[in-house]
Amino acid sequence: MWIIAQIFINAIIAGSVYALVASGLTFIYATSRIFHLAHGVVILFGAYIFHFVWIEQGLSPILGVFLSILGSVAVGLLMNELIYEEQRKRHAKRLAYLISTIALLMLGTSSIILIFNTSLKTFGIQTTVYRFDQLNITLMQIILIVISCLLLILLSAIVKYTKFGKAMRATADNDEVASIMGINTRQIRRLSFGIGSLLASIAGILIGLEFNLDPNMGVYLALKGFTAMVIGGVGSINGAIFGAFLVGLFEQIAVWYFGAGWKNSITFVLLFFFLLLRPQGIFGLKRFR
Amino acid sequence: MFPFLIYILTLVCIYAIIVMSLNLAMGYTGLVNFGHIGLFGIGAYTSAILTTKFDWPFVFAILSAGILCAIIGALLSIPSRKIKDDYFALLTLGFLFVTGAIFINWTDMTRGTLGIRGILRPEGFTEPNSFLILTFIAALVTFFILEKVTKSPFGRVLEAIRDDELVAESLGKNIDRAKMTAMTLSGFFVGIAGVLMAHFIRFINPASFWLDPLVVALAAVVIGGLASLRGSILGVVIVFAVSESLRFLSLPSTMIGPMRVILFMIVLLVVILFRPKGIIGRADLD
Amino acid sequence: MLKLQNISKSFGGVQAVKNCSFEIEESCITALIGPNGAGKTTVFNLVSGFFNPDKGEIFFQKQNINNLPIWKRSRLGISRTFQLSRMFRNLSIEDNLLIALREDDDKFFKMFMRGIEGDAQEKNRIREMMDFVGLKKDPSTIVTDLSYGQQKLFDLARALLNNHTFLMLDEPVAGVNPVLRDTLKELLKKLKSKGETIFVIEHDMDFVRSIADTVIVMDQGDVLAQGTPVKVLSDKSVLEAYLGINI
Repeated sequence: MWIIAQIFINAIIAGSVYALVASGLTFIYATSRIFHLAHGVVILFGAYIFHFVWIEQGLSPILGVFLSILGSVAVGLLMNELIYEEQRKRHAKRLAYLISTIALLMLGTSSIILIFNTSLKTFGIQTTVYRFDQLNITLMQIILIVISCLLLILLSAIVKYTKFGKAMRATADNDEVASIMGINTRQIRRLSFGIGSLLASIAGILIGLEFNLDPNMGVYLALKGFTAMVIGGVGSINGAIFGAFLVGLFEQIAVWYFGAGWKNSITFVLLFFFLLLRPQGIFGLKRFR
Repeated sequence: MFPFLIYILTLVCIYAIIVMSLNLAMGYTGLVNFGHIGLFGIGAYTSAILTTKFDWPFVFAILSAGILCAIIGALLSIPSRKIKDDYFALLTLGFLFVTGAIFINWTDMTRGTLGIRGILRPEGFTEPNSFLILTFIAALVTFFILEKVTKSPFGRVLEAIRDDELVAESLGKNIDRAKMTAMTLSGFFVGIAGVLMAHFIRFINPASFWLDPLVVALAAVVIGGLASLRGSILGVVIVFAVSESLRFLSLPSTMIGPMRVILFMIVLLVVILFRPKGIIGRADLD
Repeated sequence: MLKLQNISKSFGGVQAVKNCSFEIEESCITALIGPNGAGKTTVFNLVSGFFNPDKGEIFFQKQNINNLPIWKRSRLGISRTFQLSRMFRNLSIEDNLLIALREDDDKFFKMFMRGIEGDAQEKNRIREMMDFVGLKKDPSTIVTDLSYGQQKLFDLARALLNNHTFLMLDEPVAGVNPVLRDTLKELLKKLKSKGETIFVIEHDMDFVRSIADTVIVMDQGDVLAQGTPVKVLSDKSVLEAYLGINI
């Protein structure tokens, strides 16, 4: 019995990380209609900068967080401005965006290897472990869940209540109409890449603290985020969050049942069945909320 | 210098087969198949296992690998009936991840991350020169067969499917069967390429069929141009020229791998931005 | 020739077609009219097989085609155009039309040894068809270079070349200039005199009046009236449905 409870706890931990990734992807998809898979390396840039500043240089972690946000946002915005916006000017089609985002993902992964080298990065933080009978959860994990919940709430608040959120929803609904109505859609896209990348850096920091860092994580994170998006119904933030927890859950079940080696492949089985059987996602929402 | 040149030329021939067969699926039929490298790996592993573990002769091993990959390729085309475009592409990327996991975890057969050593070259082709001739002939045969297919009315139907499959179907074309045929051929040839790779390098491990070859194939197919087999060959040559020119920069060896990928991807991005049809391609991505 | 029996289809919560029944006679022009959103194009798409009806049966030449895939319906002889011209955008006019003309070029083994060029007879038919619809362009032009009006003509030519016994035209004169509209009117009349069965969606009432033998009026997914143009277009409920939309 306790193993099931432990699986659920681990699923919530992993799920809250994936939720940050998936909601960032959705946030960006809503305004740009791009599956911005390179988001995976934007996350990693944040994580690696934080590690570099704090652990390798021994500077203050606050400075690390600050620089990591700066770095991620810069990388995310650059990707948008230099590649996606240029493609948009030339009326690129969906598959062309897909190729370029994959290219950026690989480019980013290799840049991280080049700058920070391939060795596994650990933070080596000692954290309190809470035991309830046979269940384990660390303080770090609790902090991770809390921060990611706060960020997700903040994100929905931005979408729901701010003027920017309103303009964003309009752009998501129909960017042509939105731009006729006087919304600067390019600016909106820029902002959504900015905010999405900001989230990414924090997700990266949390991931680094909990799971250690390896340059290939970007690819996995991006694809898990995408799977979560599909499960929840592409375009819906709440759906993406739900999908993220489902991905987390299935992964933990796979680890328990088949062994850790199959952890990353189970996601694709999930992706396959959802695309085939329920392409509109669990909630079937097409509109951005 | 000379043995090195032979080595590179052999790789160019093998990659030419990979990229031409990828172009059949991606450039001609519009099925962006990131799982292509997964099929490449399946071909390599099948032959490696059959020849080292079960002592099969090379000829039977290469045929079985080709046929197995053809069948899996055909199966991969089935989801494309419902799952389209970028969703299909990402699904096939998932297929690559699943094959990767199988290579790593099915240790009884694949020896996991240790990889399979001691794969022998076929008799008569053990020397690098003769093996180069073998791969060159394979590449040439692939080129002529695929050229024949793509320049036939059937090839035109494939292009119609790429451009608008609903219209193609409403003009009476059995698009499911046509897509399956294209993927079968594509799988067969990339399987053969996998076999040649395994017996050329004589050692394979899961990392040989991971993202690095995908990056090379993707860069080559887009740079050379979609729906052009000559473009694919040109793309492979360009990619290898770029990659090998790095050797003259005398970089530390740990930097060469990532630098290569970075260069490929920059060239790929430049091409996709400024020349979306590639250098001599005839179609752009929808 | 074509018979729809109690066809219903909804998308999400929207009922596009409900309990719709009608029959179409051979060798005449039947016009399908109705306000925007009446479900006309949905009917076309249901007949083509782009999706299956939630309820009801479709018969083509007495055969139930409900569960046939799109391509098999085409092989039975259903050919169509699209409201917004769709084409194989990376191919030339000739290649586009050859695909429509050839019956079994989707068969790999049969086609493997054949040349890609059409033979003289096929090329001739394409030239003739282009002349017939008045598409004055070099056949090797890439189709995306065609103007809007030319795309309409091209679309018609493709539907005509595709082996068929039944022709469905989705708004053939929408958005074209008056001269071209008259040309198309003459074309359709010529086709009818050749014995073609034509099913056409059209908004332009003058056009409908001058070509159609039978008019079917749809409103809110259902058939409102069916009969000769004179009779139907003087019907009060029809005028009401069209009120505010070009009478």
